[in-house]
This record gives sequence, C-alpha cells and structure tokens, in this order.
Amino acid sequence: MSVSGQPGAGVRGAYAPWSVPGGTGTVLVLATLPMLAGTLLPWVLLRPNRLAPGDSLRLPPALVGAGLLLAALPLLTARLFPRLTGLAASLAVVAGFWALGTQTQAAVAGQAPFARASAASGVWLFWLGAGIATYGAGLLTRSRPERWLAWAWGPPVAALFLSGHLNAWSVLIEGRSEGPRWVQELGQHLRLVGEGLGLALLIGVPLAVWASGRERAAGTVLGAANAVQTLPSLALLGLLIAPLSALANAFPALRALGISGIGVAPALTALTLYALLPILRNGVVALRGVPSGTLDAARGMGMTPAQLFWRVRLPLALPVWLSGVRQAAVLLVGVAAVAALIGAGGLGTYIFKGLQSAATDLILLGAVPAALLALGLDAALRGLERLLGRHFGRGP
Amino acid sequence: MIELQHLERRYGDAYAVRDLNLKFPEGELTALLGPSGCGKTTTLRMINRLTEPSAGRVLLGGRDTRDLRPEELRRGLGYVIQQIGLFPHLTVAQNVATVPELLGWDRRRTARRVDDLLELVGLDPAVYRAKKPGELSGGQAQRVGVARALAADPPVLLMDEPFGALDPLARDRLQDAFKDIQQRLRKTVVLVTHDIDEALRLGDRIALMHAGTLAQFGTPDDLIHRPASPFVRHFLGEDAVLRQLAGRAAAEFVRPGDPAGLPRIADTLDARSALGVMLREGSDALAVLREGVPLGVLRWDDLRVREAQARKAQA
Ligand SMILES: Nc1ncnc2c1ncn2[C@@H]1O[C@H](COP(=O)(O)OP(=O)(O)OP(=O)(O)O)[C@@H](O)[C@H]1O
Ligand SMILES: [Mg+2]
Repeated sequence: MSVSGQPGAGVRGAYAPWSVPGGTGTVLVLATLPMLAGTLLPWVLLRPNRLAPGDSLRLPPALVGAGLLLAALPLLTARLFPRLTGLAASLAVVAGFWALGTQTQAAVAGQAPFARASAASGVWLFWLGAGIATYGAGLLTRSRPERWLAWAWGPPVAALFLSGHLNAWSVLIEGRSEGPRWVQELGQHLRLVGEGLGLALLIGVPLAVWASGRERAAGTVLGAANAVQTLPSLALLGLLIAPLSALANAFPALRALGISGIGVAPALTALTLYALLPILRNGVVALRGVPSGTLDAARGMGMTPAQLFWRVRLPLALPVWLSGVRQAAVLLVGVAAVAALIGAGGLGTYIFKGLQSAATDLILLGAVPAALLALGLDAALRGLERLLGRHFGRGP
Repeated sequence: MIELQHLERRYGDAYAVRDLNLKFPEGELTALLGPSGCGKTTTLRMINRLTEPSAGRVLLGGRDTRDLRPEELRRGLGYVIQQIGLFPHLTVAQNVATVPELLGWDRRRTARRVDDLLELVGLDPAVYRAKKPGELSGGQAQRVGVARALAADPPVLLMDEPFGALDPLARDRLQDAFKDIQQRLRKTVVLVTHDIDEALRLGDRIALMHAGTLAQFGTPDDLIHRPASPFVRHFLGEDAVLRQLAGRAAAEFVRPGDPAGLPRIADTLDARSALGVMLREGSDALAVLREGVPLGVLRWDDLRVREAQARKAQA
C-alpha cells in the first residue's frame, strides 16, 4: 500500500524504473505488527527447573524502545531506501537473537543450575515479524543484486550461536546436555531419509520407466502407490510391525540382518513406500508427457530405443520428475520424525520425549532442525530443478 | 529407387493398406495423395519401418528393407512429420545435427553442415543456430524440420503433410522454398498430402490412394486428363485444371508477340489469375511485363492445356 504507492522515493535516477510488486507494502505492514506486539509481550520465561511453572519477564524499557524502532524499520526503509530493506529486516532478525541472549543470560544469573530461561511469546512473535520482513524484502529486491541482503542475518546469527551468546537459552542448554546424542539422532534422521529416498529411487525409477509405456501397468502401479499414500504414517508403521516380526521369527537369518517388527526395518520400509508415490507418479506423468510427435521424429531419424530414452525421453521428463523427488524428500523428513515412535531413532525421538514430559525445549530440539532440514532440502532440490529446467529449455 | 511390392497392413480385420504396388522414381517428387484415412501415413511409415508391413515388401535401391536394421535404414531416409517434432530441449543447431551425430560425424563437419542447411532453408544461421524451438514460428520450425531431415544428405526424403500445420500464406511460401530446394537437390521425395493443390504444385508424379489401394499413379496431367476411374475424376474435382494453373506462373506460357493495346499483367502472376484477367477484360490475349518491360504475349489458346502439352512434347 504505502510502499507500492511511492516506489523508490529516495533513489530516482539509477533506479527510476523501480517496480514494487503489488502487495509488498502489505507484507511489510504485516511484518511490523507481530514485531510491535512481540516487543511489548513477555520475552523470557524463567522456571526453577525444566518442568516447573515459571515467571514471565519483559524487556527492559530501553530495549522496548529499540524494539519498537526496529519493528518499524523495514517499512520505513522500504519507503526511503528500498534497496536496503533486506538489511533492515536482517537487522531485526539479528536483534531478536541478540536480545534473547542478553535476556536469558540476565534471567539465569544468580539462579540455581537447574533454572531454565526459555523464549516466551514475545520472542516468537518478534521472529515471526522479522521473518516476514525478510520475505517482503526479498520480494522487493527480487532480481536485483541487493536481494542477498534479505539473507544478511545468517552470518551474525551463526556467530551469536557459536560465540556462546545464546548459551543461557534453555533449548541450547538441553542441546548441550544432549550433545553427541543429538548429533547422532540428526545423523540417524538424515540416514533414514537418505536410505528411504535411495531405495524408493532404486525401485521407483525403473518401475516408472517400465510402466510409462504400458497403460494397464501404469494404472495399477499408480493405484497401489496411491493407496499407500492414503494410509496415515502411524497406521502404516503399525501395520508393518506384524508381518515383519512374523518374518523375523520365521527366518532367524533375517533377524541377524537386523530385521524385526520394530526399529529401523519397518521404518525404512514405510519411508520407501511413502516416497514411492511421488517418484512414480511424476515419473510416469513426465515420461508420458513427452510429445508423441517428438518421439516419432526421434524414432524416424534412427535413434535406438536406448538413444531415444537418454537423449529425448529422460531429458524432457527430468524437470517434472525431479519435482516428484523433491516432494518425496520433504515428505520423508516428516515421516521419519514419526518413525521414532517405533524405535527407529531420529529427531522425532526428541519430539516424542518432549511431548511425554511436556518439555517444550526438548520438542524444539527435534522439531526446529527437522523443519529446517525440510526447508533446506526443498530449496536445494528446487535450485537443481531450476538449473536443469534452464539447461533443457523448459525453465524460466 | 523405392519400390513397394504387394504391400499390406492390417489392423485386426481391417486393411489400412491393401496390395499396394508402386515405384517411386529416383530424383522425383511423388505426392502420395488421398482422402483422410486412406492409408497414406501407413504407407509412408512402412517405408522406414516405423510401421511393419503385414505382408509384401519394400525395396530400397533393389534391397529388401527387412535386411537392414531399422535404425540403420532410418538414418538413410530423411523424415519430416506434420507435428514437426523438433526436440524442445535442444537448440536449432543441435536439432539439425541429430542424425550426423548419430552417424558419428566430427564436430567441425557437423557445424558446417548445420550452417549450410539453415541457409538452404532460408534461416540465417547466426540468428537461429542457438534458438530453442519454442522461440520459432510454425513456419520457421517446419523449415528447421526440413533442414534436420536433410542433415545427413539422405538420398530419400519422406514427408508426412509437412506443410499441413501452417497458415495458407506460410504454406505457400514454404512450398515455394521447398520447390526451389528440390530443384537443386533432386532427392527422391515421397510427400504425403491430402491437399490437391499441394500435390499438383509440387508433385512430379502423383500416387492417388483410395481406401488402402492405389487409385492411379501418374503425372498431374495424366490424372487430370486421363483419370483412371470416376473416383479419380471426382476426387480431383471439375476445376482440377484451374488448380493446376494456379500452381504455375503466367511467364511459363508466354510467347513472342505484339503486346500493343492488350491488357497488362506482371510475369509473377499465376496462370489461373491470368485467366481471370482475360475473362474480366474480355480479351483472349494479355501483355506480360517483367518489371515494366514487355516480355511477350499470353494467349488463351496457350493456356489450353493440350496445347501446352504439345509444346512440352516438342521441347
Ligand atoms: N495404430 C493403428 N491402429 C488401428 N488402426 C489404425 C492404426 N493406424 C492407422 N489405422 C487405420 O488405418 C487407416 C489408415 O490410416 P492412415 O493414418 O494411414 O491414414 P491417412 O491416409 O494418413 O489419413 P490422414 O490424411 O487423416 O492422415 C485408418 O482407417 C486408420 O484408422
Ligand atoms: Mg496421415
């Protein structure tokens, strides 16, 4: 609204044709409100130990003033120096982390070692607003060199974590006490996702190629994969316990290989089955979507079936197919979290442990990295898709 | 060059092509003409074995095509289809280079060949080489399709309604361009079409098909003046002569004479339009000018095809 009405007030000349995508102003206003509210709400929750109820602590007046200023900063910058909006939003993100650090440190100072200072509603709201602001800044500076400023918060936030400034934050205290085990669970999570995806690709890719040429087979294969997908992940895990433990009992050799009703074997089976549908569906659709005229011309020019596949069908199908692989990967990060319930390990372990003992910090220790993992995988594979799409002349 | 012997293709109990015997003369363009569904595409695809015959055989230079590997056979037969079928993920140059690449030509030779061919079909290589098919108009894409089919210099060109997807103007232009190319290259061309005008205009010979069988094979004049059956006469229509005239320039019929006082036309006008001018002006002779300079006289008698044929026979 206000921003889009007054594009680039301060930077006429070089930026005269500055175009503000419609709605960016609204995004930035939407970013301001949670930041304002967050500044005024409790910032830290101090509890004598990790399970006891505690007291809400607010920001000191000086920081409230600074917070209010920071809340308005992205919107103001967008009006005056639109190029620097990303910097203002990043500043707000970093300030949120910094203030959390100082406030938690101040809160636990002089308390017993079991005391926990966790982030209260104010911090979360402030981060939400700052996050929206970086998103808005990204929109505003899209396709300009300054768009990287919307990510400028990364290094300082990493520095805050590494320097120990946030060490008094309850989540990190839990993390420290978990330490190597947490790294292990993260590794286990990645391994579950990687192996599930790998197996699904191993089965799904040839199956999709085979089924894409056969009407009936394609229908059957897709139907089966679809049926699996409609089962809730918990139900699927439960259903796999009985047959797998029966198998393990019947063939002790299998048990020696680590196959049993609970643990990694059923989890991996379930993950593979889940990943299969997007890989199969997109594969079949993409391979069948190759124009028949193109195939006809290729065959008519004397390509062998292998050449036809590698030179024409695969390159043309790849962008759509890869987006199926991406969906599968993101899906698996979530399903792998549930697999902790049957003893497969992974970040889900913390989520369920935290839920059982009502320890929010433990939940966060599992949930936040899992969410970041999903987002990171999504972004990385999207990038790959775009790259391939451009290479094969289908992309933007 | 290409000979079809008792060629047959059944789908279930139905014949798409039935006992077809035909010789496509070397270096000539034969139009495979006929109504929709009469088996033209099936016939064409049996030549490069995209469709396998149910019975009969195809001889290529005296050799049964079944003795060759299908891929090998196809690399020696240029193939252009109606949907053009360019590879959307490859550039124009890469599209044209497909068969040379399959044949293992070296890079330099392929690149030179690609440029030559783009020029041949009237596309500036510097402009079009790096474009993707999605950036081309229908006419440009079809030119690339023709260039691609010619890439490895195959002696035979199979074309399935290559100009069918174009608007009339682009089609005319591309037909002219192709006629030019063919006059230079003298390939053995089999051109499938259901467009009578196209067949009369481009075909040295016409093979007219009807329900999977051959109705008549001959020159355009043969079909027009000596139709083998009522079907042939009916299919070509009573105005076939006019259609044929439409495909020829008025200049072809010019003879020396005194142009004084006659209505004037340009030599680029087609013969049917010249006839129209005669009817409109009530004159049985026209002065034909080339860039304003009198070239000679076009007479009503000369347009009467029997005369034209007689002259052709003398020449
Ligand atoms: N794959 C197939 N399966 C069954 N019938 C087919 C098949 N291909 C062609 N036919 C039948 O064979 C007959 C000839 O088909 P063809 O494609 O050769 O016709 P055409 O002369 O090229 O027609 P058009 O001008 O419409 O392209 C048609 O009746 C068609 O229905
Ligand atoms: Mg056809």
